[in-house]
Amino acid sequence: MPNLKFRPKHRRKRRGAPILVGVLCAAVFSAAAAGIWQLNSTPVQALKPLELDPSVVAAFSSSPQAVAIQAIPSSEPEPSSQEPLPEEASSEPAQSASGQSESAQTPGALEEQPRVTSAYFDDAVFIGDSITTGIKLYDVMSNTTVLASTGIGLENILSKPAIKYGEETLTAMQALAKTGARKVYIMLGANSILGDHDTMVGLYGNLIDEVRRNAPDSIIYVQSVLPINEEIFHVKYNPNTDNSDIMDFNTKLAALAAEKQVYYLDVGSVFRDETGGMPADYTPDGMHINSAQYIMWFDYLKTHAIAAE
Amino acid sequence: MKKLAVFALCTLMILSLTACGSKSEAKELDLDAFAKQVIDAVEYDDDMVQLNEQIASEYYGLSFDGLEQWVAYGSGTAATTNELMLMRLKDDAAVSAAKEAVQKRIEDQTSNYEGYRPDELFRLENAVVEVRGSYLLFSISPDNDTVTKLFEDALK
Repeated sequence: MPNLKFRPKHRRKRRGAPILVGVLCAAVFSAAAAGIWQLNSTPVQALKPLELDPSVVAAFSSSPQAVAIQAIPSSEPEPSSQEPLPEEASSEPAQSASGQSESAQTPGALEEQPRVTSAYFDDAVFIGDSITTGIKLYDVMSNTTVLASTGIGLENILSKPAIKYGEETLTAMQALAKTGARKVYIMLGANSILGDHDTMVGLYGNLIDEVRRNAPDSIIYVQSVLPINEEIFHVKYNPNTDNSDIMDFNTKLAALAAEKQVYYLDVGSVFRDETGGMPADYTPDGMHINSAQYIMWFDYLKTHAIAAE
Repeated sequence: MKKLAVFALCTLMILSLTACGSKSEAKELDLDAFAKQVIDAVEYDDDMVQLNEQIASEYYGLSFDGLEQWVAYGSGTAATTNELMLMRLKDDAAVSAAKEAVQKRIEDQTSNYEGYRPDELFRLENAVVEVRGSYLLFSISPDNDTVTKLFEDALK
């Protein structure tokens, strides 16, 4: 009887034991593998999407040594010499800007000046609407200050807190006062062309007074409203605005600038073709401009800058 | 003895299955690569640029606790309100804060565009905010179906 009792168990043990051990080992192994895998997973790192090349950072440094620099950032087409050569300085191979000649500029516009470097914009501020925001988004002049927002226009620039400045949201003038700017560039009016021009020019005049108050002793530049590509604009926005309306507004703007003793810059001349409109490949929607055009814009500003005292 | 062995075996197997199970729930997403995939796949009617920290902070705040990682793209020309924001968030509180941040962004943009671009309001009204596990997707685009599907597939 003892044999009967023990034999089945003994047999079961012999049959079952290897299987049991095998399964136990498999379970332990998989638990260990899972644990090791989790321990070795890559730690989470904060993403830094903008990694600046050191030579680019150095080129935009405000130190005098860095200004006279030989390294040319990839976003800028200017030659290393400081001679003003508008055709060579253009980044667009398709056409040299026909508007660069003086005759195409609006009367009263500042004429071509000795070329300045990017450091000129260290203490400059750009005030404007959606078009001006592209300066920041395309990072064309990272050393300058942009106070712009899509929602800003002549009718609300003095009242709407639309500018994120540090932790605060301020009006453009509140932000301007904090910057200590020595040069102020304004580009507004694209959204006001359909309004009464005299009313809009009046608002612009108030704005210039406020800029002067919030940035005393600064050089103030009023920039023209850019031309549109009528074909695209009429479909995307409205069929009632033409470049002749824009030129009419700009002529009044130039006169205002003279009256207020500030400078008027015909930036629009860079983007006008022989029809007086913006080429289709310069614009995504007939009104805003593409990234390459921001480089053209700054190239124009560099050759139409008044030396700061 | 046999019962003890069986119990021990079952416990071990359950533990190992649990370990594997929790790993698949915490699926990791390479935000940078995924964002690029979306930008390439969707026919955005605008030039989408990657947003740096200064611009993204202006748009979303980004100062709330528990934001572990983010990547964002937006319209470079301002011709549209197209936007793509992906965040990895530590916990439920961070998810709530993130949802508030993107909601504020929608409100800001609505305020910016309602004066002169009513066609962009439609796009803002159809913005997508979706949370899967630790990840939040915020998308304003002409094809949010594709964006959403890519997000869901990536986190399956």
